Amino acid sequence: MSISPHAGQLGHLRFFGAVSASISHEIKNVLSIIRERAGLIEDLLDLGLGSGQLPDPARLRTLAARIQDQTARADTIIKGMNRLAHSVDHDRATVDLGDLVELLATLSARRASQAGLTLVLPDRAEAATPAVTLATCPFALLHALWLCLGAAIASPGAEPRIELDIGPQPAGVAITLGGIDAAAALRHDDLATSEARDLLGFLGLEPAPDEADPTALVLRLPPRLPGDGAIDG
Amino acid sequence: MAERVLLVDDEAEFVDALAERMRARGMEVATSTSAEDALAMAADHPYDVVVLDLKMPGMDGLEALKALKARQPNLQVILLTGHATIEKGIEAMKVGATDFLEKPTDVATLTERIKKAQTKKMILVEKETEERLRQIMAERGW
Repeated sequence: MSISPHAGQLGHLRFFGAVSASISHEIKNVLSIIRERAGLIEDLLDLGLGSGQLPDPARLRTLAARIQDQTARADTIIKGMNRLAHSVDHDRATVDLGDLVELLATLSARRASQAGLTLVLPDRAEAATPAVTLATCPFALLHALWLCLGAAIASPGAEPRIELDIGPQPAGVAITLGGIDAAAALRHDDLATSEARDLLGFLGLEPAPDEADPTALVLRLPPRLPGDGAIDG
Repeated sequence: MAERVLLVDDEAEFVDALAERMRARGMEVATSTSAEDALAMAADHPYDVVVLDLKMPGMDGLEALKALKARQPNLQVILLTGHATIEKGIEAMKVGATDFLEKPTDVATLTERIKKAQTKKMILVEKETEERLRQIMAERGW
């Protein structure tokens, strides 16, 4: 039975809501750190004024640098949110899979760290190979990858990390989520709903354990969307 | 008497900065970046108040709160969260939180709540001691 357009829309909204909640939580953490660091500078100045001695400039410089580090952290988070928001601008676009997976990792960092895991991206600097691209619906693909990565996070392997990799395939491209229990990830409830199956079907995304490595889940994608049908919702 | 506080949050930079500010305000502050470590620390040291982040990797704040209260019913626990919802607040109070604050919080507000919590703990401990003395006296017939 096909999923209703309303249910499809709700699924997209749930994804957008989950990312927004995670990001707003992280921004709150950044603000809390900035607030306490700035408060510490205030405390040191008050203490200095009381004793007639100015605070140690090196200490103040360190505190200022820590505040700058946090603003850089917030900037990365906000840029990720902005890119997700703009991913709905075009129904179809040619995307650089490396960029998309990097965005997915930025948006999912907190979700992974809450599960005690780190996301490891491929070293793109060493890749002298051409960019891996595909013609797709960027927002729907991010949504589907979010679901697959969520299933991977819930199915950790022996090490506390998930290695994300991308590469061309004979009939398209593939994203690999390595270092997990791939069979358990495939059985995860979030991938078993009719809504998820419709989404993966729309994208032509086929998740399967790597034949040679049971700790790797391979997400194969065609070079372009199968047919030209519009996704439900 | 200085308030003995255990500050628990997975953001190491946050606990370090806040702990330094609280120490400057006369409190004795220990820190932990995981609920599991915090439980072990609380078992070894007599804290008056634990300030606990609600969302942490591994054991979350609510689970930690339940474990702390089961072991030390008089221990006062203030929950600190990025997003304080009414539901979470009610749930926290039901399982024994003394207070529930939203991040980023003002250090003056937190200090005031910690002092209140410490006073509450002292009253509870005094009542418990009184009760124990009364029981001993009744048992021995003095």
